[in-house]
Amino acid sequence: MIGLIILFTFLAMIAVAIGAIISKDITQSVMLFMGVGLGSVVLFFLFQAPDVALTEAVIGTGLSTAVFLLGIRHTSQEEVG
Amino acid sequence: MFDFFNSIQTIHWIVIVGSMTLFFIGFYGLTTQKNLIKVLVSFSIIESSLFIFFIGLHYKTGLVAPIVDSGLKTFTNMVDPVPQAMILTTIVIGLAILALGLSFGIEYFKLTGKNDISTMDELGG
Amino acid sequence: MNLKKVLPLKDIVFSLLSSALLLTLTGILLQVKPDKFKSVGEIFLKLNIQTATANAVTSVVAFFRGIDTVGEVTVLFLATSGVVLMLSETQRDSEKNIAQESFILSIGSRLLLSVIVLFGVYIIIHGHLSPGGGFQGGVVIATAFLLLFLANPNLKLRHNILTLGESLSGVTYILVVLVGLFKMNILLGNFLPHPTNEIGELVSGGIVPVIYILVGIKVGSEMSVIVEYFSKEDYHKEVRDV
Repeated sequence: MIGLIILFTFLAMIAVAIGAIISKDITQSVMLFMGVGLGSVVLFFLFQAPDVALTEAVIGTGLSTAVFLLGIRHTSQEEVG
Repeated sequence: MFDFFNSIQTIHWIVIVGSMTLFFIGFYGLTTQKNLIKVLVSFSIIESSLFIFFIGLHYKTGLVAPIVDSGLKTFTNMVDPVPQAMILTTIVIGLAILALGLSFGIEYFKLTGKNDISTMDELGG
Repeated sequence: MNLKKVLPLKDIVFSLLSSALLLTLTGILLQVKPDKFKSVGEIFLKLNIQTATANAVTSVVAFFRGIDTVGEVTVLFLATSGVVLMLSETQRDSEKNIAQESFILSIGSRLLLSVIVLFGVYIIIHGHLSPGGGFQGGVVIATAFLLLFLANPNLKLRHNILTLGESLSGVTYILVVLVGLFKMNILLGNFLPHPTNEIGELVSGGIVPVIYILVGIKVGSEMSVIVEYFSKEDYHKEVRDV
């Protein structure tokens, strides 16, 4: 039973990662990277590692995405005027 | 059929193939993408795949998490705690290094206004 | 349609070479049988009953491998000072941002701030009884400050309190390591009383919760400073484009 859940989680993470590399919009790419982080939280829980799952949940979903989005805002070329 | 999927050999095979595929996807994005933010996203995907690979290979079926609760009283039949302790601090350090790399990119953009790594040729080539 | 632009030859050759390398690496890794490895973790699990902490990962991070945590805290300090040095001239202190703050958002975020900080402090203090600890709780506290910055762009943190907390916790960590050397003749010795029958209580485990609280204060203040420097506005951009 656990093996099937691990297999499906890996397939979902691979599909989301391919979407993150191929997409043309940068914001969509960062949001799909957050999906990869959520999949890895599920995998850490199934491997009986609750400390690592808690750390990856807080960092991958909260601060990492926020730091990426603030960096996008500072480095995007906007047209003025 | 569930016996085949629950054995240790199958789970280790799935973990190795899956995390190497994620590593390859991140590696491909690292070397062929042109935008600065996408290069950093690919680098973070590589880091996540290595964490999964490290913890997944130390898992054996039938063991529990290394925490003693009200039911358990002894530290037997538990997963190895040392790789979890190493990966825990590595995740936090990865976030700090990501912030440092992004601050370099922001300063470069303020100086020259370039966002594309193929046009950054101040050092030639 | 120019075929050379749609499918560049360099990309195809590079993909084939790297996939061949990847398949070789996967084939080598599939031959490894991890059942035959011995690990030092089994000995740590047997010795863990003497430290009287209920969470084995906490006692490995803070006590058995405590000197590694000193190195990791140093790396975090270096990364934070690098971010502060690079982004330090973004906003002059007397000018305000162009964006207005909204009333509902600022009141609501101030109500949520106390709950999130309390949750983070709970995770830090109960690090030796349940999954959690200093690293997780410190990042939760930084998330609370991120919420404040998103609601109110004109916010300024008091830097003297943050600097005092971060530097004092770092110095106290080194002092605790040295006191263990002088009292018990080993670096990072467990010099506070830790009786074995108190496993599972809040005050147990000797020196392990003290170390984790110090690490939590340090990580929380560093991540808050990183988030603050990333949220600063830059309006030299409007001046340059005109």
